[in-house]
Amino acid sequence: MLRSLLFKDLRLNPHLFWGAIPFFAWVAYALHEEGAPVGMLTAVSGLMGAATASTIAAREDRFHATALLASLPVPRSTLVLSRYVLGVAAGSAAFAVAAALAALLPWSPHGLAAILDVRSVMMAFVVIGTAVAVLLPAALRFGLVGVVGLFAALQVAGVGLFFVSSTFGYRQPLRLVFGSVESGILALHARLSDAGFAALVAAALAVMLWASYRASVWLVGRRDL
Amino acid sequence: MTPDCALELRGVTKRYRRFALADVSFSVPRGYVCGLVGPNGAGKTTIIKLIMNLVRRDAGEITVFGLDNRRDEVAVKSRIGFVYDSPGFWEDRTLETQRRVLGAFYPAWNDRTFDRLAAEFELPMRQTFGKLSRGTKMKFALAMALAHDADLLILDEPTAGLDPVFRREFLQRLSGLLLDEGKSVLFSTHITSDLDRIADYITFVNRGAVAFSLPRTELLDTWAVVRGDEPALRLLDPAIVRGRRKGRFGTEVLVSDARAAAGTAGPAAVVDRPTLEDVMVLMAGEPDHAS
Repeated sequence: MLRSLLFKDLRLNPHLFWGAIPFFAWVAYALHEEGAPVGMLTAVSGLMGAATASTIAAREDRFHATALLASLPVPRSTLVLSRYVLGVAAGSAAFAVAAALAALLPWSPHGLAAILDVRSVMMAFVVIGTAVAVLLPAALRFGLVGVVGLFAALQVAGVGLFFVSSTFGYRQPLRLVFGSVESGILALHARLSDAGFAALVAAALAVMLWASYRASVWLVGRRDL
Repeated sequence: MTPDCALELRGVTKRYRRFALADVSFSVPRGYVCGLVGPNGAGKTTIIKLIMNLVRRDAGEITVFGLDNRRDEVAVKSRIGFVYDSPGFWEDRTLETQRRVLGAFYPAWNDRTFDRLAAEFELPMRQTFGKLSRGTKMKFALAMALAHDADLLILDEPTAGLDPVFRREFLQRLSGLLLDEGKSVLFSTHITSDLDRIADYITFVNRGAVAFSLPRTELLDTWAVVRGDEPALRLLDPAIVRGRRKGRFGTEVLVSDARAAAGTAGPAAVVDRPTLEDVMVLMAGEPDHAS
């Protein structure tokens, strides 16, 4: 059943997958300058993956196909699971394609090994997992409106924080929060071996995705179509 | 569950902020066509969504071939073919692609049946869904609903928005298929003439409640429309009065006992056999007389 759902998404939305390749070629080209941030590759590919799964959900909303899908002999939880699998798979594929393009383009200063080192791969999975975990509950519950609303809320929150910090000079508390999270992660990394830290990150990512998936199942189960 | 029921709803309730379906109960026997009629906004689509578990019920029980529609959701949906008022297929994909993709979800999907129906309905399989006329869209939806050998067909206003010629053709094809295959059908419509040829049972929904659920022949044979002036109509037993409408040329009263009405109404009253439209119009007019 999961396979049929993934096949459905590939057959009904091929342009979303093929259409991303020129974009990644451009990203790879942008990396040809000396000192260009390779991290951009991971961030962009992760967001693209999550956006693919969200866009497919939003397209179904647009065509009123959500009710049709929910009428198929498939549990809603499996419908939700297929979105998560697709999001992570599309993000990983996007990262792989972008990395290959960045390494293979003749003008690229980066070798494949430099791009695909453990740190980059871990970073890619963190970005992909986080993007999928944050975007999908909104996309599955509220469709396109949910995705746009989430981005709008994040933007408003960012502007609000900027306003608060610049007007009232409350930079210290924000720095304190983000700084302590950062130093905590760095301290943890210093205590653990690279492999141990990678395993810990992977476990945290898995827990976050599982929690997001359960939240999506709950939200979708209560959605009247 | 009542034996030999394809579909049974018992005490089903769903509350929205401005509308509620209250205590809905009716059944569709196996192999029969049940027309779900009522004015726009009566709750027909909500009932269908509850059966398909597209909306969550607040109370009650829905069984399809004895299986709970929520607990046994996959098994239930495998046996249902559905056609919605606005078929939600992917507008920018061809019929061929969608048939391949969606057919894969049904264990009993039959390509031969689909091909036969597609040829019969003259479906342009290489055309994208969005470019089709409404009539062709409904035919595609019907072919999809029938190609997995569903035992119960649920059709939600499939003829709404179709021109009369196309509607007649659609209904002829549908009734031909139903006669051949003996499927159980729940057919929701506010166009009562759709049901004249094919419905065995009529379930009338008004303002979120089931007013009655009866065999069509019983309804048309025992109920009546009484037309006349007010003094003659006042003689009717209030217990049999189901609806009333005051028109420019007199008053019409819907009664559930034609014989009793003929015996009690004055000579100035005319007792006629009702049409389904009469029943719908008169019952929708005065809610207090529905029981």
